[in-house]
Amino acid sequence: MSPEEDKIWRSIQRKDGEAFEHFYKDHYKFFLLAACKYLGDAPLAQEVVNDVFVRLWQDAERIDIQSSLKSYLYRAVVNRCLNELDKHKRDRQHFQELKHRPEETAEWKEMEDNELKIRLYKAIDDLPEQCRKVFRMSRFEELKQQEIADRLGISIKTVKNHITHALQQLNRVLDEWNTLPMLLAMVKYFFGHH
Amino acid sequence: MDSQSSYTYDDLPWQLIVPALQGELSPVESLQFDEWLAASPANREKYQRLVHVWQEGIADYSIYQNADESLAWEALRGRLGEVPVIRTDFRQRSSTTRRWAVAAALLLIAGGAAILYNRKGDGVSYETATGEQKTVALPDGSTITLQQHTTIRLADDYNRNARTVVLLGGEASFDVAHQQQRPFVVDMDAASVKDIGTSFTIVKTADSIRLIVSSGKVAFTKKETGETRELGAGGSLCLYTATAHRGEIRTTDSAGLLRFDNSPLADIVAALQKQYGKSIRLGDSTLAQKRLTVHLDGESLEDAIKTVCASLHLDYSTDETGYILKKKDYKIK
Repeated sequence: MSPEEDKIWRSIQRKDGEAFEHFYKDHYKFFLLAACKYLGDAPLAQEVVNDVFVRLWQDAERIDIQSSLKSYLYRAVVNRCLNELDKHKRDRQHFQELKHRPEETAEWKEMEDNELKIRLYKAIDDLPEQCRKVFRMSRFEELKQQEIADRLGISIKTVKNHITHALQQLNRVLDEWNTLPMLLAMVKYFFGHH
Repeated sequence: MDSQSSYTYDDLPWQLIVPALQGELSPVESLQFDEWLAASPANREKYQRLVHVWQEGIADYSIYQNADESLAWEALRGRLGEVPVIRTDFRQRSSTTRRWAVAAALLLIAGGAAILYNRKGDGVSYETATGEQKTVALPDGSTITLQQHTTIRLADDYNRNARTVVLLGGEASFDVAHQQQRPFVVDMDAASVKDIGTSFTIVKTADSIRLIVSSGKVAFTKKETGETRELGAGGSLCLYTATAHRGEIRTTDSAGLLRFDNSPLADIVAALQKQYGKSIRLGDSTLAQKRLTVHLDGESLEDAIKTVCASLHLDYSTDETGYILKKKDYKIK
C-alpha cells in the first residue's frame, strides 16, 4: 500500500467519517464504471459499490489489506457483481461470459483500462463547453459534421476544429498513460503481492 | 494549469484522422490517409489506438457523466446510520436528512441527477433559493441551469414517452440533447418552447416570458392564439402576459451576447476584452484578419480563449496583464 493510501486506510479504520467520505467521492466513478461493465445497469452498480463501501466501513478494524486499498475494493466490487449476476441470472449469455472471476493478470488489466477510461472522461469534461458539445454530438449522437454545424449555427470548419481539439486532448491522455510504465509496474507489484 | 501546453500538442495529420474516424474521408483524402498509414508502423499503431478510444474506450461516457458522487454518498450515508461515527459532523445529521438521502438515491436510480428536489404526485420539482444556482442533469443527457428563485417541474415519465419540463417561474437555461422522436418542450402557462436541437434561456416573470436562443433553433408557441415563431441562434423575443400589453410579442435586444459570424479576430478580441475587462493581445498583427464564426455566450474567458484558439489553430499564453494569442508551431503539416 502506498504511504498515502495507508494513511487513508488507517483513518477509515479509526472511523474518520470525513476521510471516508473523501475517499469514496474521489473513487466513486471509478468503481461505478467497473461495476457497470459487469452489470450493465447503473442503479444496480451503485447499489453494489455502496454495499462494498458499507462493509468496508463496518468491518474496517477486522479487514486486513495486503495489496492496495483500491485494488482490494476493486476485487470486492467484482465479486459482488458476480454474486449479483449469479443471483439474478438475468442475462444468461452475459453471465456465461463473465461468471468466472478474471485471472489476476486479467483483473489487473481491467482495472488499468478502467483507470484510463476515467482519465479520458475527465479530459472530455475539461474541454471548453462548445467543444465538448460538438464532440458529444459527433461521437454520442452520431451526427455528421454538417448536421452539427447546422444545428449549432456554426461553420463546418469550426466543427472540425472542435472535434480535432477534443481528439488531440484524448490522444494526449493516451500518450501520458503510455509513459507511466514505472508507476504502473509499482502499483502492479503491490496489486500482485497478495 | 496546463491549458497552454494542451494547445501546443500536435504531431499528427488531424485533418485526415478526424474524417477517417468518422467515415467522412473524401477519395483524395482517403489516398493521402492510406499513404500516411503505410509510412510507418508507429502511425498505424497511433491510429488504431485512437480508433479504439473513439469506438469503445469512451462508450460509457454517459454513465460517467450522469453519475453523481455526492448523491451516491448521500445514499451511502443513509446506510451508515447504525454504526458509530466519530466525527461530530456526521452525528449531527438528523434522521430527516437520512430520509432525504434515500429519496435522493431513488432519484439517481430513476436515471437523473439533481441536488435537491421536492416530490409531488405529478412529478419532481426543482427550485432554487435566493443567490442559489443549480444545474440539473437529466437522464437524456440534457441539462438545465436554474438561476435563483426558479422552479421547474418534470413529469414522472420524463424521457419515456415525452420530454416536457414545466417552467413555473424564474430563469432557466436549457442545453438540450436533441432526439428526433422525442422533442424537448418547455411548457409555461401562456406559451411553450419546443427545441429543434439547441440551447436557450427562458426568463419567466409574473408578467412576461423572455426567450434567448444561444444555438440551434426553437419554436415558440403562444398558446392563446396558437401563433408559432421559429427563432434561431442569437434571436430573442419577449411575450407580455400582463393586462397592459397582454399577448404582445416583441423582439428584444440581444446586445452583450458574444456571437460572431465570420468576424475578424480583432473584433472578437475587442468584444471579449470589453466583456471581461482583461487584456488580450495578438502576438502577430496578421492574426487580426483571421475570421471565425463562433458563439461564446456563457463561457468563461479562459474557455472562450480556448475555443477561439482551437478553432483558429492558435496557441495562447498568459502574463500578469492578460492573454496573448499566437500562431501554433506545427511539426507535421
